[in-house]
Amino acid sequence: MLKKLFKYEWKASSRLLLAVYGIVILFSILSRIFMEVSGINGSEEAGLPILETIAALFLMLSVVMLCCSVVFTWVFIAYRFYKSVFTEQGYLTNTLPVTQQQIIVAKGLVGVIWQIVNLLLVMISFFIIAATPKDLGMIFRAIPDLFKLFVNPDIGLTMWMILAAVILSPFTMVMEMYMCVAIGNLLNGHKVLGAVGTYAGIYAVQQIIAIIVMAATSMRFVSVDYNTTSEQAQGWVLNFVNINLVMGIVLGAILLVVGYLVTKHIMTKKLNLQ
Amino acid sequence: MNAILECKGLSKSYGRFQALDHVDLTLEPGKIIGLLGPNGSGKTTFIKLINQLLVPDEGTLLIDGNAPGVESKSIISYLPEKTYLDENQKIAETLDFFADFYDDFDRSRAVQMLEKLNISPEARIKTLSKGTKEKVQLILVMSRKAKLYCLDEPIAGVDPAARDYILNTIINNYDENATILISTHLIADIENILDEVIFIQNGRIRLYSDVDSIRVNKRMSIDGYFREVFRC
Repeated sequence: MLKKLFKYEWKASSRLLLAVYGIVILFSILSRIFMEVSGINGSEEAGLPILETIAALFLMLSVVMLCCSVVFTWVFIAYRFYKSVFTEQGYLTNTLPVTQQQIIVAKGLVGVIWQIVNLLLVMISFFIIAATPKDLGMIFRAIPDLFKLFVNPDIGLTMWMILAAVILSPFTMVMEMYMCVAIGNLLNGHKVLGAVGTYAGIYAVQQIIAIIVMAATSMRFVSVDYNTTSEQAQGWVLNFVNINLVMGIVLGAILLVVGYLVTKHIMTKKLNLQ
Repeated sequence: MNAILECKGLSKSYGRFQALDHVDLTLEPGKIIGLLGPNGSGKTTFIKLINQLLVPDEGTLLIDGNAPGVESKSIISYLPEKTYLDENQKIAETLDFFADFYDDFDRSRAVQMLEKLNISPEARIKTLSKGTKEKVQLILVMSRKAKLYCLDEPIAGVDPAARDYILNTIINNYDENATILISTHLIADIENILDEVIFIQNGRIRLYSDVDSIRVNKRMSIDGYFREVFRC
C-alpha cells in the first residue's frame, strides 16, 4: 500500500512541479544562448547592446525563477499535504485502507525527493547559465579531493557531520511543514493562516536556540590575542563549527521525530474535516 | 449471523455540544437501513465515527468485529456529503486509483455505469458539473463489493431525475449480504427502498425498527411517522 500511495502522490505532484522546473531550465538555456550571442560573458567579441540587454534580462529572470522554484517547491509540498489530507479530498485519503503512518511516509518521501530534485535543478541551471568546459573540468577534478576530506584526521568528523546535516535537512523540513499544516487544521477557520503562524513560531524558536548556542560557543574567541597560535585558532574554529553542527543535527532530528508524532496524532485523533 | 456494526455507549461531543450521546446499536447484515433525523441530529457524526474520520470520546464501535482501522476501511464503501475526488485526475485515473486500493472494486461495473450515463472515462474531473461529479462518486462507491456501504445524504443536492438514478444504482448494485446505511432527511424519496429505519435526534437513537412494523402498527408511511415523531 505504501508503494501505491507513493505512486499516486508522485503522479499528482509531478504534473505541476515538472512544468515549473521545465520553464526554469528553458529560461536558463535562453539566458545562455543570449549571453553567448551577445558576448556578455566575455567569451565572444562585444555584440549588439540590445542583445546584451536581452541577455541581462533573461539572466535576471532565470535567477528570479530559480528562487521562485525553490519557494514554490516548499509551498507546494505543504499544500499537497494540506489539500489531500485536510480538505474535502481528505474524505478519500483518510478512508483508504491504509494507516496514517503510511500516508505520512509516502507523501513525506515524495516531498523529500522533490526537494532533492529542486536542489539538482538549481545546480543544473547554474551550469547551463554559467559553466564553461574549463569550470566543469575543475569541478570533476576537485571531487576526489572532496572525498579525501572525509578521511582527513582534522576535519573528517566535520565533513561527516555536514553530510549528515545535509541528508537530514529535507526530511526535517518536510516533517516540520506537515506538522504546521496539521496544527493549522486544529483551528475551525483560517487553517492556512494557522499553519503559516505555526511555521513562523517554530522558525523563531529555532533561530533563538541557534543564536544562543552560537553565542555560547563563540565565547572562547574573546580570548584570541597575539599569543594565540594559528593552530589554536584553527582548532577553536573547528570546535565551534562542530558544536554548532551537532546542535543543528540534534535539533533537526528532534524536530523530525516530534513533527512526525504530532502530525500522526492529529491525523489519528483530531482530524477536523469540515 | 455476526453483526456488521455494533456500538455500545458511543459518545462524541464538539466542545459543549453533544453530537452523539451514549448510542447503543447493533446492525445485522443484508439490510438497507435509513439513518433518519433532522439537521444536526448526529447522522454525519455517526457515519464519520464509523469511517474513523472522528474518534469517539466514549464507548466502543466494532465493524464486522473490528475497531475502525485498516480492516474496517477495506470493507466499508463510504460516500461522504463532499466531493472528495482529485479534480486534476481523469475519471479513468480515479478508476485506477480505486482498483489499486480496493480489492473489491469492480472496474467493469463502473465503466458500464459510466457508459450508461454517457460520461467519458477520459473526462477530467474538474470539467464535470457538480451533479455529474456526484454521480461519478456514487458509481465509484457502488462499484465496490463492500460489506457495508455508508451513504451520507446521497440525494440531498441533486434534481429528482438524478435522485431516481441514484436510488436505482443503489438497488441494482445491492448485494444481499451487504448492508447499506443511508443517512438523509429526505425520507419520502427513499423510503420505498428501506428495510429498516433508525430515527436519531439530538445524538440519541429515538427508534430502530423495520419499515413494515411501522407501516402496519402505525398505519402511516415512514415519512408521515417521521414528521409525527419530529414535529417541532
